[in-house]
Amino acid sequence: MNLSGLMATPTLREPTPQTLAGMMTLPPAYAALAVHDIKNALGSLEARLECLQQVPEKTARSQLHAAWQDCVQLRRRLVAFLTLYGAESGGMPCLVSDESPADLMTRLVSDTSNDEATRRVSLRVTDLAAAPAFWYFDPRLVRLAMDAALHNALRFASSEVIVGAERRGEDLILWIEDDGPGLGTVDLSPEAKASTGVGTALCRVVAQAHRSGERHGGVCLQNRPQGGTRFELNLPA
Amino acid sequence: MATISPYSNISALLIDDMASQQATLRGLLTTLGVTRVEVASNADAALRQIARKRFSLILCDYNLNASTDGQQLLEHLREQKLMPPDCLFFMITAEAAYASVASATEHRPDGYLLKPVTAGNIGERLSSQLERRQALRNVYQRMERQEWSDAVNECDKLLTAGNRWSMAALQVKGPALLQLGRHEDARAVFEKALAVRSGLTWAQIGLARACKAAHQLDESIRITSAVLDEPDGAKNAEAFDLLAECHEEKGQVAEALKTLQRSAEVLPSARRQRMVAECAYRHGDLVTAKASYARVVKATRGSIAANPQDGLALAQTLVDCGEMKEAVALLDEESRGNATAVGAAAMAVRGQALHKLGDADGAKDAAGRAHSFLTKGRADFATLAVAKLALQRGETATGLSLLQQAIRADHENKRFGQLVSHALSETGHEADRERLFDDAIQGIKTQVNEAKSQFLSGHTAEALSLIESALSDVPENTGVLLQAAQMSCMAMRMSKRSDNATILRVQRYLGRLDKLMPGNDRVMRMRRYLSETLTMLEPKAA
Repeated sequence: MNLSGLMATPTLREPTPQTLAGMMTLPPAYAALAVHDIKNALGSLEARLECLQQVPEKTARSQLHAAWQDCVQLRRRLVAFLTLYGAESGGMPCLVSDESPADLMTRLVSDTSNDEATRRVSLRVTDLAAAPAFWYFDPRLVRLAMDAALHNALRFASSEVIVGAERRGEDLILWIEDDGPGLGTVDLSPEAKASTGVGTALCRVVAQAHRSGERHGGVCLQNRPQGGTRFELNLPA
Repeated sequence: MATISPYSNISALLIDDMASQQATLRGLLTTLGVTRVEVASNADAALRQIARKRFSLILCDYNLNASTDGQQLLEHLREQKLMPPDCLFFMITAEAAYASVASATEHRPDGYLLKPVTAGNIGERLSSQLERRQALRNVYQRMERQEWSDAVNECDKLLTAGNRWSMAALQVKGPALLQLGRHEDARAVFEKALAVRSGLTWAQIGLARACKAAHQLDESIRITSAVLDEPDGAKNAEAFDLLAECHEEKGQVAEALKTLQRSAEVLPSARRQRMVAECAYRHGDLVTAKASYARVVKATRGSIAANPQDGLALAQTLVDCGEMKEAVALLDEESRGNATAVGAAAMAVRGQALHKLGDADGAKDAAGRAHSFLTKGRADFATLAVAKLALQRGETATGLSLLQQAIRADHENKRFGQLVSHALSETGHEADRERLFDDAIQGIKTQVNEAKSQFLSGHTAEALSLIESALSDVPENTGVLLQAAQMSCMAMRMSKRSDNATILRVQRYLGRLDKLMPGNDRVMRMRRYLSETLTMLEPKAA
């Protein structure tokens, strides 16, 4: 069974000029509903593929794993888009609780370690001893943001991505560094065409949703002196 | 070789109305190593399974396409204490519904899972929640056994370690101290948490509770109002409840009712509407009471959250409003297959309606049946309804006697006192009020005073025997229970030794009080008194 074919087969008709015009005039809420449907269908497929990984045949398993990863990536993008849409329409609850930054970053790395991208790039978490024992944040939202930031870093890295967490003044800093070409370079990779900038926007709204008194979180993306990029998500105490 | 999963001991229940989703979730759990999985398609089936078997994980879809949704099921399980305390409840919700589901809830689940759910999502929530449970296991065990001092000690151990669980320890230590009546210490704990993160909702509400326990009602009102003004706290059920309690304690009835109404608007649950209706009825606002009870009955019809008492309360309110035919129709409807609707209260309310409709024989028949069904000597709705019917039918002595017994059953219960006053004024017996209360209270006061006098004369055993005898007459009288607990503690102090039989007896009183008036400040203070007594009597180290 050729699963890559299954993934490539378009399930939606190519938009005709009429349907395209129709879509342009649809209110954003309808667009979101459409995306919801696609996301849920994709989620079912993802779940089925995930279960099929229990099948012992080696070849089938590797194909299934790749297909499953495709699904995971697509779902993540759609979830990012919907979260962003929710934030803009005032519907992104931020449920903060006392969480372990070290656990979050360790889990982020371990969950990503089987991704296709980590075959060519080394991914590691730095010594987290300097990370505060706990911090107040919404684990779901922060994980969404850090997933997006990590996948961005993996795309651009030449050979290494490092993640870490530390306290700086009144803020928790969750950071990701890559040794890629740095900011201001043009990305000609095929993935770049698919990138919508949703990941970066998502990180910003997640940071801003985290408030403490008058302060709120933020994001910072800058070149490293030794080359490459450093991404920081800061969350107020 | 089979891999040993950290979750292989978990026994899970999936609640989802769609077979395909059940199969998918079962597959995901199997991937994680959870193989003991049962499924239920609706809330009723889930309740039967939960009653039969102990589950450690429940995954429930919010939208069950039935009269009961996932949130109502969770509230029912928590309020009725049907779920084991160590059972995790994860709510599955559609992304589009998440904002409203997560922001307006009476009880929060242990985690939300947004569709489409993946094994990774479940594993992540499961792992973090199990880690938290494990870290706080000793604290939770003590709290479950109501060993509040030991729970505080366990929290202190976590706080001394100064690790990841410090805030979690403060979050449970504060309420445990309040249970012990140590409101000053509780206040310090909540202030410490607020110093770490200002605006922490649970800490602000804890602080407000500590203020209320110290009779600083204005300060408590200020803090809870501030919480409700914040975006994070605007839908906080506990803040609304506390604010309403403070207003009511200050005698600010209108403010209390307004607070409850606001809470029912932002947290639309049957429980909230019931609170509005009950408060409105108690204070004679029949229009609000009728509308709110009607909403409760309509919202819970066919649902597991349905409570037969709601229909009876609505029928009584309709009678009080002069809508007799509507009341009878409602009672007829409620009586179909409902045992409670043919009990003393239902018969009494029907009798009141028939009496006002001029059906004297019907009213007489209902009164006879209501009397035969009634468990006398209780401060409850049924006694009140039967007494009202007697007074309306001109059986004044019977009616007043029933009310007197009910007042005596719990003479310090202010809310029941308000209902009695309401019933007396409505039936034209307002003039009897003072004498009725005095007579009811006099009997019990005489018994308690006699016990006190024996105690002061040094006849401790006789005093305790007298107070026990009073309690056997009125086992649910909260005032006498508190008095008995205090006297028993004082007896131990005077004899300078503690004995297990007395300690167990006091704990039994406190347990009964907890059920009769949960979270009450006076009960907490009594628990503190017992704890101080035992500390005082501990043998001193050489």
